Amino acid sequence: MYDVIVIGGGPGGYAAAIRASQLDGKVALVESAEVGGTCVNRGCIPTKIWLHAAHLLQGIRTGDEFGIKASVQELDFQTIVHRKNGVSGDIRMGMEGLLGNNNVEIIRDWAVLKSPKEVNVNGTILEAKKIILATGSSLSVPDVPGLEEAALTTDQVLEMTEVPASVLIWGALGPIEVEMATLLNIFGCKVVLISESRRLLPREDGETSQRLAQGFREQGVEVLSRFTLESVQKSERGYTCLLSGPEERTVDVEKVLISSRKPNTANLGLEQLGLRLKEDDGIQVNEQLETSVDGIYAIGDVTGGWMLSHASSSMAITAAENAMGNSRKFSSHLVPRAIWTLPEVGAVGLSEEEAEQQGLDVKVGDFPYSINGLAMSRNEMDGAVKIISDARYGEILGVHIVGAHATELVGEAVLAMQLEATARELAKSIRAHPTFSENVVEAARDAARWALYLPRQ
Amino acid sequence: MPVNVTMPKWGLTMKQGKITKWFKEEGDSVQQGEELFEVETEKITNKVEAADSGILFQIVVPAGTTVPVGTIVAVIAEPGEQPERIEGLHMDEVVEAAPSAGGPPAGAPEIRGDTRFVLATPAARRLAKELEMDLSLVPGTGPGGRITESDVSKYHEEGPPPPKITPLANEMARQADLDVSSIVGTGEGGKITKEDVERAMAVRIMEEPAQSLPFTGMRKAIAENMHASLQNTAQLTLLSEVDVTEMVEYLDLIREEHKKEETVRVSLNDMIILITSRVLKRFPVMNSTLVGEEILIHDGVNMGIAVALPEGLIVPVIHAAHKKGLLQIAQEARELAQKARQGTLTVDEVSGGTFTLTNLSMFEVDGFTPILRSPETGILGVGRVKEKPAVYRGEISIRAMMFASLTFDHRVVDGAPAAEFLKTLARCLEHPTLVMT
Repeated sequence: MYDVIVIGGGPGGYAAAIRASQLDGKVALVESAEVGGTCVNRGCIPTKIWLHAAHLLQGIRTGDEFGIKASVQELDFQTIVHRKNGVSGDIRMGMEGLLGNNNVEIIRDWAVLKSPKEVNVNGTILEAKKIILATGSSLSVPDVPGLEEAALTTDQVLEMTEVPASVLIWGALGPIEVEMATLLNIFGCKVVLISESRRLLPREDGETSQRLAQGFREQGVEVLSRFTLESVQKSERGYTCLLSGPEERTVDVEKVLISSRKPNTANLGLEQLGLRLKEDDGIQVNEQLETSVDGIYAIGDVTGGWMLSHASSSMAITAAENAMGNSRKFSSHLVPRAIWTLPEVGAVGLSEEEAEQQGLDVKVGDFPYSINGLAMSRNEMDGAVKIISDARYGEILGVHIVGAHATELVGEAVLAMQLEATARELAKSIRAHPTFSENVVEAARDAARWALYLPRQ
Repeated sequence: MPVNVTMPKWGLTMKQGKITKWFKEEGDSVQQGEELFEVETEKITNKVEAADSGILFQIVVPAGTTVPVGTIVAVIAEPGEQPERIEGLHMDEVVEAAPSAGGPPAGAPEIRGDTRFVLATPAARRLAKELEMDLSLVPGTGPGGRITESDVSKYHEEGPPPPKITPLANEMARQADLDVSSIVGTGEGGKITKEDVERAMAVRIMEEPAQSLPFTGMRKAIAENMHASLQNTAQLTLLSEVDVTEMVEYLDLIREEHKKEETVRVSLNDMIILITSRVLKRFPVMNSTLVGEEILIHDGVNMGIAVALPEGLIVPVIHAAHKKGLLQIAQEARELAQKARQGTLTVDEVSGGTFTLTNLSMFEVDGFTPILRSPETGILGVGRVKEKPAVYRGEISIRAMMFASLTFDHRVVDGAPAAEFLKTLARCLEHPTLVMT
């Protein structure tokens, strides 16, 4: 009898298994494919290697602004793929080592739930007091006529040895889509970015979307909104995509990116146990991350929603602690979003629109990168920090950063919100000069209406 | 010296606890403050920490067993020590303690400073006793949180240290004028968070009302009468919708007839009083009171009329209403209501009722379930008159409709005769001339 059986060995399952083991649980982790899940093998990590290569290339191209005149002789994508495989492999090895070091038994097979306390692994019934589902998500091809043939999946992008001449990226444009657009565009692919909704990154603050869309346009990416992909037809050089929306229009591209993901809930025996799913097909969980069936928890992509690696690994801690007898709540409002575009995006909490929809009286503070000393020195002046605070108590409701190192800076905001610092206090915090982090403090001062380095209002 | 570990007592009501888990096995070394076992009570599940260091020599009560507070559950011995093993259940000192981790159960704010087991040096205990201080309030700075003598004197001189609180929680408490030392923190290390302040604010809304009204005098008398009525009788309410178009027309006729006489003012309620008192004569059991072992059937109808007052309500009585004409009833009813508002009613004028009428039409109420006035058997509730489409002589036309509700004491009269009374009453309300028969 195990204390906890974790199904799925991605960033969520891995963290859950270690945390349960730290709390003296006897833990097994069942994984049918490689440890590391989407994040390590086909997601966060591989894309960061590709994006770093893209940023280096971009740096070389813009080097002449600083007097460095260099030309690129060759782009050897094989080397990037190789490096990516190496890093993913190293991380997998590290994860397996750490699981072993924590006495977590790794079972390499497919697991099916038999009862709330039994898991069938290839005919063997394993018993557990609690079960944590961390089965992740997988790519799904939208139901559009002709799309399958034209498809270039995100997995294929990470293995590519040559870049397609043009790619159409369509759907609800989230973090994956905009990062793919950035990557492909820098490597010379003509990208057409088509948003189904009013704007790209529809779940982020409106200004974030605007800034990013503007950045894309400046980089030569075509950005369209409110279009739906109706059909894809083979053409002479690639595919003709028929779009409906404000007008009918066609776009000719070589490939159409497939990036949308759906929670992995099939063939796990969930239906027989009556586990409830949400509208987006993710498993429904309560604040303690327990599913509708007592003793079964679910974390990460399989619960739908944002589908972020760090959401999964932080849910893992809550779920593992609760599986080991605690009753803690998961603070979903403290999950940051980090997007490695040009410029980067980092955000946590409510957007200005969401805060207003909740009827809150908000005070907004803004500070642009363009007058930050470091940003000017490095010629990285695009972007701004925006702080949404509650007018009454000064509670920080949300922080939205677009600009260099936004993905790192957002950590400051998470910490401030977690420790319930008010905007007034953040405004009095000290930052080293010159750093991008000064922008966060100055935006907080703007929220308190005493920004030192902005013209008086 | 071996030390006995007993089932702790968490709070006043805890009588027993079930050991759900031992974190140590016999022979394991135990550090003071380390989690030793887990206890489940009716209210909470929590972990118990070791109060002493040593070797867990014996687990007397295995996991899964429920024992009373004070029962010896384990023995901690010093290394190498071999005390005699304990057989069976034995009682020792009852240690009153606060659960070690996890804090109070969600939604149940606890008050600080309740009895808990405290670690303190003998000198600290002596000083606290001299100063008549509650040791459990003093934060300990010694090893393992032990309270030292200087902790006690510092606390005595400087008072309690400010509680740990997040800036946001502090700002919310300041604006709400909440005393932060009265708020229990559930954050890391007992820190007061936004959630804790929100909970304290919610509790305060309940505990500190904006206004306190005295529950005395008329209010108290009404409360006692109403409550006694509901407790001591078997009340049941019947509801009928009545077409009062004819009655309204009849009333208009009377008003037209007497329009020059200023003293004559007749309302629909007066007509209902008249008709009800006449119909009651035909159903004597409805005009009764239950006193002791006897149901007293009354010959005359003394009709109580509920009158609302700013400070409560009172029920003056029209005596012998069954004998009185409409104009007399109208005049008496008006005088009684006026006296009620002036507070000049005599005892006689509020006594002797055999049946009551209560009318909420002026508040635009359609129907309600009146409460009996003990020891009476019946009370009639009258709602507003509303013009509605209704079937009249096979056609839909606009009719004046009204709900009449009859509450009766089922101990005195059964449903069928009461319904029969309401049916006849409704018929007479529809056709007022029927009371002449």
